Amino acid sequence: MPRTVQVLLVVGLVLAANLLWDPLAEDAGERDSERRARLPSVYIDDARSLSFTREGELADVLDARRVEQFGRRGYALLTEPRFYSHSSGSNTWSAWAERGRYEPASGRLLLRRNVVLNHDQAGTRLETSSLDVQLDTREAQTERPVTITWDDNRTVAAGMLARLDAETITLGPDVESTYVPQP
Amino acid sequence: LPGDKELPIRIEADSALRDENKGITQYEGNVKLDQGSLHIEADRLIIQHQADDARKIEAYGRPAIMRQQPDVDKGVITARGLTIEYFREEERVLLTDEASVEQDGSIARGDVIDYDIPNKLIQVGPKQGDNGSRVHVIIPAQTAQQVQDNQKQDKQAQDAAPDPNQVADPNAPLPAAQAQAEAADGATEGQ
Repeated sequence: MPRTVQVLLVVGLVLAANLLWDPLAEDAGERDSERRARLPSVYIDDARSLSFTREGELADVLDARRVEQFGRRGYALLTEPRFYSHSSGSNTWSAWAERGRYEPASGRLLLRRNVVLNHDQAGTRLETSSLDVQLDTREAQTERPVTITWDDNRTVAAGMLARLDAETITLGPDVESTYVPQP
Repeated sequence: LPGDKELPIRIEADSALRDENKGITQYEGNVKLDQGSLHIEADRLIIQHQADDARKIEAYGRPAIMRQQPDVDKGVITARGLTIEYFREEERVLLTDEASVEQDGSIARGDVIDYDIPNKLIQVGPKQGDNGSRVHVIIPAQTAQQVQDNQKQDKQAQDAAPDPNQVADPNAPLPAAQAQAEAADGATEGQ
């Protein structure tokens, strides 16, 4: 067999071996890192996180029965999150849900499943299935149906934006209210 | 109707802004309010809910319209104004700007109309400090005739009514005072 053909044959074999071998190695490695990425890096039970204003006043409190922190992906999954927020006055809002997700980078707290938002002083209760709380602008928003109740009165709407500091709630579209006169 | 006040108030609108601090809710866009026979249509409507029930309702429109049947046997009253303020407890309606109240063809127009529903009193006048505007009241002829007829009937009824002092049944015992008087008369006649 001429010399050049021998050389070409050897090079081809080496390349083939390389191709065959690396993917296998890489696959295993990749699967392993993927699995590690899917697993939370930190578990915390009965967690509490506090945030303060620049003036050192307590702004928000975020509790959760369980926190699963996914460091690489930049979020944490929350079980039974409870969120307390002080409005600009002395009034407070409290919110809770079955599930939640906290994204520190975007400053968002996403509450899901049986979400309740309360204005504690006015006694106003808002119920919906999903609520996105933007922690920096201190707004809570949903495009899902929302029901508001206070005493015997009731309002429903197809969406809502609550401005926590201003203590206002914008509802719409399709707003329907029922006021029951007190005896 | 008299029982309207106890019924729930239902409101529909495109959107609403609820202010927890001020205790008010502002409805906007195609606003409709119903409470028994009371109906309000407006572009914007504000309800105060600080004290649990809606004490005062403000409606704004071009114009805002309020309809209510004051009583079972009465015609529907239609009130219009750029601003309608409805004070629920006092059952009083204040109409401002292009205000009018209409019932069974009678119309009252002015800048400001203050309508006292329970006492059926309508006060029409200019805005404060504005003596230029006029008040217009239109009572259709047929209704005017009805008013005269009613007055005639009332008068006839009064004339026909027995003297409350007379006794309807001659056999019934006379009231003591009248019996003595008649006895005294008899005595003097006999002398």
